[in-house]
Amino acid sequence: MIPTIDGDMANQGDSAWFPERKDAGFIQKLCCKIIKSGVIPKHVAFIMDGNRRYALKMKFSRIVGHTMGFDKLTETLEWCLDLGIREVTVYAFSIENFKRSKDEVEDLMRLAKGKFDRLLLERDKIDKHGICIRIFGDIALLPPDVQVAVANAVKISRHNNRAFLNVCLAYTARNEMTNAIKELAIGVENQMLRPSDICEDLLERCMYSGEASEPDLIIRTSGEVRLSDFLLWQSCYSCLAFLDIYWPEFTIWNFLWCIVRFQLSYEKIQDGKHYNNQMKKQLQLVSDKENALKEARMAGKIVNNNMDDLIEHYKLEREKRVNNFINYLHDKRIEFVNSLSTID
Amino acid sequence: MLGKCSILDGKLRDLSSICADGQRMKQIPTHIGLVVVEDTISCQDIAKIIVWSIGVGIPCVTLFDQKGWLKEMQHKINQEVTAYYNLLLSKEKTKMILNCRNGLVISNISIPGFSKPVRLNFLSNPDGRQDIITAAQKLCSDSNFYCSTVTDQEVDKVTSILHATHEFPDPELIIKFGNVDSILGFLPWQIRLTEIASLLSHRNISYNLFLKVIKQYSKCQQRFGK
Repeated sequence: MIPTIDGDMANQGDSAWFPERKDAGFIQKLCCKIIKSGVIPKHVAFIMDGNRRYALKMKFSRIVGHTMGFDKLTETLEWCLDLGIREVTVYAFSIENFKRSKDEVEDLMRLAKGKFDRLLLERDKIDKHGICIRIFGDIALLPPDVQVAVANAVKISRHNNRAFLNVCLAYTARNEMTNAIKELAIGVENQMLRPSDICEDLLERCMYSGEASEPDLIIRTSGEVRLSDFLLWQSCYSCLAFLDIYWPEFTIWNFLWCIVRFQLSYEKIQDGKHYNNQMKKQLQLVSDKENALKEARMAGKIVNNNMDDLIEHYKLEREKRVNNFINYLHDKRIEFVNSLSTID
Repeated sequence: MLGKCSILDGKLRDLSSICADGQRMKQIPTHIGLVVVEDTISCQDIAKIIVWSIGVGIPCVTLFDQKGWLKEMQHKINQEVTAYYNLLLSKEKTKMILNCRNGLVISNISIPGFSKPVRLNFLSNPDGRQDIITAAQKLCSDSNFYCSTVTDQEVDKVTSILHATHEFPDPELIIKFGNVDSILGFLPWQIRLTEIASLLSHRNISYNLFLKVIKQYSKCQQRFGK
């Protein structure tokens, strides 16, 4: 049974996550095939901007703009599945958006709850596509009923691993990074970690997006050319595509164009990533050597030319600490979601 | 229109007309990032862009390329900045007194819109993510940081201890030079609300093109999530 949807939304027709759609035309299929002959991004992130301005332009109410934005999202997800893009991240609601009028925030929260509840009804389709839903953000900031809806969606899709949908809700990148640092601080306080264990890879694993890959391509609609506190860390080596159309107007042609931009920048970006990886490795080697030496001296060991064993031993111990901590954090987060969820 | 532009480009601007252009703008950044993602760098052209930025009234200029080539050429760039600045100044009708500090020329004419000295910052890969890591290590050694919720206070604390942009405001505008659609690790923390403009190259760049970017920035309005 389809849950009743309040107010304006009742007039919006089918607002399912996986509505029936007519088949793509021949030209679209051909273009997709051509694009797929080149490298396709594995992970695309969307800043779905412009719902309100679109509504204004078309003389709809704001909430209708947001609902059409959701429909565009589901259509985009289908294009992603067709193109073989396995991971999608969307910026659904920023912590800054709480500053909007009380009415609009309530409408958006109601829309979010409705859509996440709806996910439970389309569970078979989620499992068919093997989609795992993850939430990035400070879930505790959301109204309790939305927290439950979101936790349920995460729980029922947790076992899937063919495709990933990451929804940023009550999210900002700075909050995410600060929260990750805070988790590490707890780890250090509890002596699970040493400050010197902290490196780029470890910080990444502590973020809300810790289990996700980095986005290869970030698309922002509505003509704004900034990231607005979205995936600031993870976007360092992403292809950034800014489009001058509102989100509800986003077409497959806009999408294919962004993918072409990604393909054109691919080599240089790979170079950039590779360089960063080299730098990371070097830093880790230097750090391991320094710390191994420090540890040995503090233990009163005599350090001779046999540094390699010492460093290797230190490195293994460090990796053990780090893995233990990551597992502890992973379990803590699963616990948190389970505590909110009303599904067994 | 194109013909008119090329005539204007051929004419060397003087400093007061650049200042006047800046004054006409509704808003000017307090900090601009010049992000070079090209494979070759022209110190002369970089110097011009720096001087234009200062001229229109931007007091902080950060230069970035991933591999640190700009850092290596810092001395040469400072020399080129001095040379170009002197060239523009030589076109001024009244004589000005010049001060030299660390190779960077700072004039003591009153350039409209700034009373503070100009600051030039050269950054590369280690000043991005790794700077955040250093901050994280410091904060984790500070036993007060592991409070139960993340509030604005904790976020601000991180901002305050980042070394790369210590006492610089966040850049409001980045001009990315090159045909790569990525900023390759430039100041991830600080670019939260930064407008990202893209130009194909810094080499042989014209003042008009630079001004166009500044004009575009001056028109943009941010809603800050509201």
